[in-house]
Amino acid sequence: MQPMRNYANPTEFLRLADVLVPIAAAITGLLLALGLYLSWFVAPPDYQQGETVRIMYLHVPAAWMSLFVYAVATSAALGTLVWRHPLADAAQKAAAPLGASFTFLCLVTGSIWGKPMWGTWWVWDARLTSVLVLFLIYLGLVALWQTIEDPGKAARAAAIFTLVGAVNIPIIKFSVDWWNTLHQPASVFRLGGPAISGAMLWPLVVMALAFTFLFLTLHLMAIRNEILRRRLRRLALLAVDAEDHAPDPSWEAALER
Amino acid sequence: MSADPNIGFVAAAYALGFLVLGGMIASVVTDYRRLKRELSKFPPRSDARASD
Repeated sequence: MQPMRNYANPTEFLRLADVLVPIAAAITGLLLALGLYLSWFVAPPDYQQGETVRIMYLHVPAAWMSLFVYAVATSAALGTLVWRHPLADAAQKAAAPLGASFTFLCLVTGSIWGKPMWGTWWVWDARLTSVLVLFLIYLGLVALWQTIEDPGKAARAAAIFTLVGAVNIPIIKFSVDWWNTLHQPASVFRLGGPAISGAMLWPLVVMALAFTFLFLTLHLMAIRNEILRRRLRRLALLAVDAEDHAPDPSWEAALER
Repeated sequence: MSADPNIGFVAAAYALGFLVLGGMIASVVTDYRRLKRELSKFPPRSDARASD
């Protein structure tokens, strides 16, 4: 438990982040370059969809990340409410805009993929609608953090909102099984193993790893930003406090006379 | 690849991907630089707590 306590200390976390961020960024860059190469030049076109299937290598990792980031935010919310971990609320706040961005990318690339394949940009089926709800939840969390000035109160409100919103995660996952949807059922994480060919699966796995490392890098950086923002806020308050308690030169002059 | 009638959709999806991911990276990096610049305006405090 001692190492965990050390990393819970913001100053120790800043030191750790300074070491980890360049390493994670380098791994992200390498995985992204490899993933794009495999997706564009090695993976074969689909026998039905042709080249359009290449949108999958962007859309599916973005969709997975939208759920993964929410799982991270939910863990951080528990950290805030149950364990009162010093960095948990910073981790929550840092995750929300990143999750919103991945979900936005998932929704729009899905729409772009849907137009040539389904003949429509959008349908109100269970999978698409529940992912749209996830995007709105992320936007709500970002708004909550920006509207409540006290970071402690904002963290508790955002944690409760995050835990309530977590009910949407299994709905997204199982929506294609519980309802008739235009969206296809799961083809990678399913009983009986992946249903897609290895030539398409490997580029997808590499792109998913690249997105995961991108999130880890940006999340570490955004938590570091949050610690610095709080330090800046405290210093600004101390500076105002020092000004308020400084002796007024006009009073001193009056007393001397 | 370019003979595919739907290649424009693929290009649009990847262009948007670069824009969104690039925007995420740029926003976190510029925020960090701004905070460091703001913090550098305060003198270093000898009594700063390790848990700050």
